[in-house]
Amino acid sequence: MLITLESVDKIYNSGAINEVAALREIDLTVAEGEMVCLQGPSGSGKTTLLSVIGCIFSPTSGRATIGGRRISRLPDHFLTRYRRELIGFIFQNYNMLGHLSVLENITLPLLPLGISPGRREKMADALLDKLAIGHRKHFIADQLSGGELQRAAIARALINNPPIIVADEPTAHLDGKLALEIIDLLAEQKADGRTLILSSHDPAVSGHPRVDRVVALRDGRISSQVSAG
Amino acid sequence: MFLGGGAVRTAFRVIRYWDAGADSTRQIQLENETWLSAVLVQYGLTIQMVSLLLLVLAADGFSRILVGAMCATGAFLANPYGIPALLVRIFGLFFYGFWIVVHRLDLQSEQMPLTRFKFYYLLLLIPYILADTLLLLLYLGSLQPDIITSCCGVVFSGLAGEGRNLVGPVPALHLMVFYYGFAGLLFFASRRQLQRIGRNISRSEVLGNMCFALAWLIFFLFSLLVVTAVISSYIYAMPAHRCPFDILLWEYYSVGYPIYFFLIAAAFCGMSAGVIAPVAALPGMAGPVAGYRRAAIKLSLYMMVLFLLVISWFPAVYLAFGGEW
Repeated sequence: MLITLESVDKIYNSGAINEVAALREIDLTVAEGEMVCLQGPSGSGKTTLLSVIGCIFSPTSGRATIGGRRISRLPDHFLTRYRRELIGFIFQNYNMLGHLSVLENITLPLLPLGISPGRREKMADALLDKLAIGHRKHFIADQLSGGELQRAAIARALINNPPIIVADEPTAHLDGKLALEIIDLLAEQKADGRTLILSSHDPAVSGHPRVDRVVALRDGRISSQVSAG
Repeated sequence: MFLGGGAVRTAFRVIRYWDAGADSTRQIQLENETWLSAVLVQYGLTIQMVSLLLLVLAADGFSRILVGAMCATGAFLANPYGIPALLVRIFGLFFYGFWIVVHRLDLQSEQMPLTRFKFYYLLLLIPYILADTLLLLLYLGSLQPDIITSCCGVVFSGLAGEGRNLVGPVPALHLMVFYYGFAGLLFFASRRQLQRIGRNISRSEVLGNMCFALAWLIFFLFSLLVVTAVISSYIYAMPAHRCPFDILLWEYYSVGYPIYFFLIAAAFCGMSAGVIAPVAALPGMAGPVAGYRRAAIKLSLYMMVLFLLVISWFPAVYLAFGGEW
């Protein structure tokens, strides 16, 4: 299995008066090339679970592995490297740097790798053309529409060619037609051999034909897992 | 000491609870705690190492107000605590530096197999640091400007004759021939060690590495002796003036700084390369240890050559030109 979580807990502010158990006893496996959709009400732990898988948070207890490597326990500098190599993260609110251009935003993940500016731009151009926002390359991020921002966010997530895409509510701020376009774009990544884990309220997303499994979360626990088709 | 003391609690918790295979909350919290503690300890030990220089400079400053003391030698001899404080601080360089090497290597492995060891080692270092600090406080607290102390001219007198004789009746020439011969052997032994890096660690290899480290320790002590008893006279251009501290002064072009820096760096790198070798057998450590040993041995050779060039310059100039350059 590519991704495994065993008895993963995540507790914020442990021991304090505002302690929150965001995840409890999560056992989840995601096979290589699988597309899994996390569903659940607000506060059910979807974003936290994606953040654990995406190597942004470490769990409070339990084991999380990617490709056999125990990411839940890696020292920070190793975690940073593997996050950069393995994960493309698409955030709910895009998290683009508003004062930078689309090109600069997309090529940010390439900066620590020492790639020349010319090559970075070539790599970005290939993705921008594929995602049909090449004409916005030099626009400042704040000037883009929601759909264009989300495409730019997808391009940024893909620029390092990661094997795993993690998308947190990728269609949250988009209307029906745009949302479907974005999900189709993400589903194309599955055809390229990538593993996708995304979260969404939208039935159109969880019901997409390329989704292999829908995992329902409630109060930080997995309440059900339904395989599609 | 303050930073090390803060890490003592972590050290006890690591020794008691550390379980690298566990995924419990306590183990994950302990790992985060060790990260922070180790960073603080690293800074603390680095400051402790640098403070040797401050101690020597301070002692040189005291010498101006202590009766009979002409330099730091006299300042350290002003009470019974000075020389022990200095020696503990000098050897502390190696102990503290070795902890930092172990810590940096531990960080290069995902499994961090040296965590428990480095906190055990820290618990052994804490009493040493306490002794270091106590001796320093006793030394500084016991300084009395009106008590006569000895100067280096009395302490480090001729190789044969009156005063405190460092090497007995051994003639300087014989001593230097032996010294350069020893340095040459160590040089070639180091190059051979470089070629053997990466081989499986057997019992004989471990013994060989320990002997290698011991040889560097002997070289360090021997070099201190040679610099004080022989070379310094050429630096001062005065046969009766033998002092390990005055060569730090500006009037002698502060040549003591590069001399001691090259010597300490060479000895530390050589010793640590030998001592750390068995660690390669631990999970994830073969690559990092081999990389460190390669870099350390190369650096020790460069530093050794620079050290020998610098100290040889002065007697060479004297022999070539019959006097000071």
